[in-house]
Amino acid sequence: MNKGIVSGIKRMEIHDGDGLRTTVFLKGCPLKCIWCHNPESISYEPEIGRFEEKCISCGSCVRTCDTNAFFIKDGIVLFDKGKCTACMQCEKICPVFAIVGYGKEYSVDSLVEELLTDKPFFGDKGGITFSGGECLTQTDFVVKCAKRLKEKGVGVYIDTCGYVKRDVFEKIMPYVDKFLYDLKAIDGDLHKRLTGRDNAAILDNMKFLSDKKCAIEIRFPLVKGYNDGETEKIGEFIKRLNIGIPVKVLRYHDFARSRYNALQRRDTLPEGQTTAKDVVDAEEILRNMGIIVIKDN
Amino acid sequence: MSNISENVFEAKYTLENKPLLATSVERILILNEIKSLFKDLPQPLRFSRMLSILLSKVSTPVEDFDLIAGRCVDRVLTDEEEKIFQQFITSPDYTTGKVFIPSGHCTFSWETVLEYGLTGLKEKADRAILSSEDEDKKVFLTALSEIYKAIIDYTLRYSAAAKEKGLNALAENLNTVANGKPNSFASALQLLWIITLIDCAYIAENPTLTVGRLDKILYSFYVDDIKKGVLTEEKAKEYITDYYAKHNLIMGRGEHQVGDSTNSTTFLRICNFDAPQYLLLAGSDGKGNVCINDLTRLFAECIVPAFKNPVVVVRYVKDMDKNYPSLWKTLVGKALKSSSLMFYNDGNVSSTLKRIGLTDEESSEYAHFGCNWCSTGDNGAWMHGSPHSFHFNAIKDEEERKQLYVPYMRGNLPFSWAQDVVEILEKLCLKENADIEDFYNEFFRTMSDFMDRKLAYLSKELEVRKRKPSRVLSFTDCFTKCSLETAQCFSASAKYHFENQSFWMFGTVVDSFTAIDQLVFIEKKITLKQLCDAVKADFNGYEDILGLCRNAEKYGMDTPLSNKHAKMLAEKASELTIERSRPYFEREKLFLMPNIQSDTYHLKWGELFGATPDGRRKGSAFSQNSRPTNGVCVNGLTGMLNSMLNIPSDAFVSGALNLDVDGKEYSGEEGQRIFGAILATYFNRGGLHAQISVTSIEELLDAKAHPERHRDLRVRVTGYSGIFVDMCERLQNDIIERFK
Ligand code: SF4
Ligand code: SF4
Repeated sequence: MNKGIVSGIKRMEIHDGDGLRTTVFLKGCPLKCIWCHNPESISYEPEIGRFEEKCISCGSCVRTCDTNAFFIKDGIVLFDKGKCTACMQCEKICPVFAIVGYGKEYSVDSLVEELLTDKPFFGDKGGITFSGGECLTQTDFVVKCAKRLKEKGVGVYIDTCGYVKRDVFEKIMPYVDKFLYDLKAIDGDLHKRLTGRDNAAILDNMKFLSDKKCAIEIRFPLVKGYNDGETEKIGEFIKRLNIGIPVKVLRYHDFARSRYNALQRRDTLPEGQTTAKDVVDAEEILRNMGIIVIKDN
Repeated sequence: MSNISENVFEAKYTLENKPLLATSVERILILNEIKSLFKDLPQPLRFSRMLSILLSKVSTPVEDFDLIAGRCVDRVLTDEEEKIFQQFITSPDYTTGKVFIPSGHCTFSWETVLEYGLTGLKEKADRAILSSEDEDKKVFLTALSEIYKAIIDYTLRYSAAAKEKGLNALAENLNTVANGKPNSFASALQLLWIITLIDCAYIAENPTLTVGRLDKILYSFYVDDIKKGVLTEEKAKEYITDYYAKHNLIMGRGEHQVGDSTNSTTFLRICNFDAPQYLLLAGSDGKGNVCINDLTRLFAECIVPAFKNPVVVVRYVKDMDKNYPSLWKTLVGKALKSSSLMFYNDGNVSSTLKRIGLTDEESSEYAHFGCNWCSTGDNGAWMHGSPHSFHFNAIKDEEERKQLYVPYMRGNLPFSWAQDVVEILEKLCLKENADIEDFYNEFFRTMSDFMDRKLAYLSKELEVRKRKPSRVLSFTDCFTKCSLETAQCFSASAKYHFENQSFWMFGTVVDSFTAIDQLVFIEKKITLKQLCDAVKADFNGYEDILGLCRNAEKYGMDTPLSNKHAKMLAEKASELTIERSRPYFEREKLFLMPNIQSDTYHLKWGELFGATPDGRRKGSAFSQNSRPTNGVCVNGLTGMLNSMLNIPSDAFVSGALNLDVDGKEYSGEEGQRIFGAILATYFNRGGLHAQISVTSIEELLDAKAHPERHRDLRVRVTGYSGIFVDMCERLQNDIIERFK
């Protein structure tokens, strides 16, 4: 596959991985985590998000859309996502930026070129992070991009949920400097409830990467009331891996809520808050188990 | 509490708590008393006599913790005094502007001042009087001599005051300064401060004085003292800190560019009101040697983030981050504390000056003055900033006088190249098969015509200035080499005469060109006529076009088309500025200085002008200085800097970039390292300028709501720093927009 679908590129990422990084979010994910903070990366297809709260009902999108996905009812501009073919024309005409298109097609060349824009700023530590969604589901595309970036002397990180076939990791491994590997729960049933999938393959793949001595940083997204009971189990699991694999506890927040609404996607985000103290407590437990904990900024 | 922290505390407290209506009371009352004296004398002598009286009468306050002496008394006037003040400033005898000619925005010959000392300068003037035949020159030189004498006497009075307090070392330094050449680091700094104080607190309204490349010119004093064992690094830092602190005591509160009369009290009350004083560090010399030494480090380490002045200008030399890592770390750390600090790329400025025609040596001795303009150093006079109005007295013929006054400006409106784009759009939509090339041609024809008219006007003005150059004296002349050598005012006798030529509203212009090119010529979504109609109607009834214009690529997004137009516009504008100046430069060393400044006029003019093709609506702000339009930098800081790197590195001498960062983003060692690396990469690749404000939207909004809690919140405005809560709402809102 020489084409990839990208839901967004974020330059100047200084809190995700080391140094200054550009993160590229690939579209589509096999998991359905209830707390997902990138709902625009769940579907594999390009789509439109329409932020109602910004709309001034100027009607430009209604005049632009050929499929009547935008229409006026009682003087209010409404959006019927079912009719949208994601041609992205409306995105370019909204005067208040209330319409955002997610999912742009890139060739390997065009993506690599864009990702290299900030290369002079990366320094020794920085580079590119592939994230998502689950970036590894667009396997061939990501492998080709990563290979090209390595050739250009840029470090590559892969942010993954781990839910892909073993051979995907085998293919990408030679071009990766570090895996940022999500670990959400050890209990299989709980994992399935929270993400829609079993975690056997995920744990297995992590063990595989660890055995291969790949650089890994484990990410534990802490959602109070949902997976905070897993902290010790995660610690136990990490202890069985290669020594020295660090973990970062990520604090759940609900900043993504407006995007769920804009995408007309069922909002599954937990209501309760995870506090800074919850994170500190989890970190403390892990540290006491002898695990290296990296502070999240 | 050590002595120094008392000074820092005092300065910080004064900055934050001085009453809004505080006035330099002694200056006003004394000048009011003597305003009618010496009326029969020519201006130079009237100036020297009045200044002598003023300096002999003002008090000489000294505090126990002073390491450097020199303060000015300011306080709120009594009702009776307020009446006198109001009468005085409206009186026909009001001295400022006529006798105390405003001499702001200049650079003194600090090295010469230190070399000769006050007595040496006086001797030089006295000798020249004897050998001069010309009556005007004699008057000019006599006035100079009297002014030096007045400063010497004032310094002696200060010495006595220090002695009375038991501050013997201070008294001794002041004595040295009064009686001869400075002979130590402390006495040199003292001399510089006395002169700065007199200029900024008693003479020049809005002085914005460049206080010099202090790490360079004080270095030999420092090294000698260390060798002799009379100074330690720690003691030198105490002197520097005190010198910094003193600058802040003589300021008023408020903001001078956008400020309205409710919270700004103007330079009439306090000469120095809100003016920045620029101190330069680092850089290189004419032979390409880097001028970074131990003093550079000490001056950097002593920067106090809470202070407004001096504004420290770091002349960034290539690979400063790699070659001077600890200095760089110190500077980045200070910048991230939102200090009054800015970085100029030394290579950019000097290579632009060389392109204009200055020698290698001269191109390395430039300076910056408020608000963020570049000067050629002490051998050049800024036409506008020089006392031009006074020279009109030299014109006897009323007709000629009128002729000169005929403005070279178009209509009654000030300039905005953005507005020219709209006029060109109106014109070209009538032309068949117009293309983007036509826009370029028309735009630069307009720019070229304007520059020609401006240069012709300036040349005429210069001619008038040169007719009787010894009949005008400003304080700057006392400390400027060319005036001393020629017995003529620097505004006529300087080697170079320049005026700024700004690419006003650069971002808005680039965005307008990009929108026209993208929507009309490349994507063919709309016609020129449709775009023109929409712009003229302020997009009312043209919402679809407004949406297209706003969604077009923008300078700051780092997209290919906006980058291309930024590069072409910047390159050509700079070239044109230098090319149109060429004949004047060759004939009379007069030229236009290419820069990308708008100061805060992006607000004022934005209010006056109609819509522009980038989707900006009538009355809203333009882009500021060299910075992209607020809110368009969707690709983050590096995206913005990459866009700006399309401005050629030998094209402009100034152009402020406000870099606004949320402190939380770059906290800790690693955050600071990353920020420093970004900044250094930008400069190493040819970036021109950066000044950093560190706060957050939340803090700014809270400061607006609860000013009393944020008295110490400081942000960069254009070339100066402002106390956020003392600014008018319009400027506060603009700063909040910058942070979005
Ligand atoms: S174009 Fe934007 S603002 Fe206008 S109606 Fe559509 S969504 Fe609303
Ligand atoms: S993306 Fe295309 S089809 Fe979908 S709403 Fe916008 S204009 Fe209509």
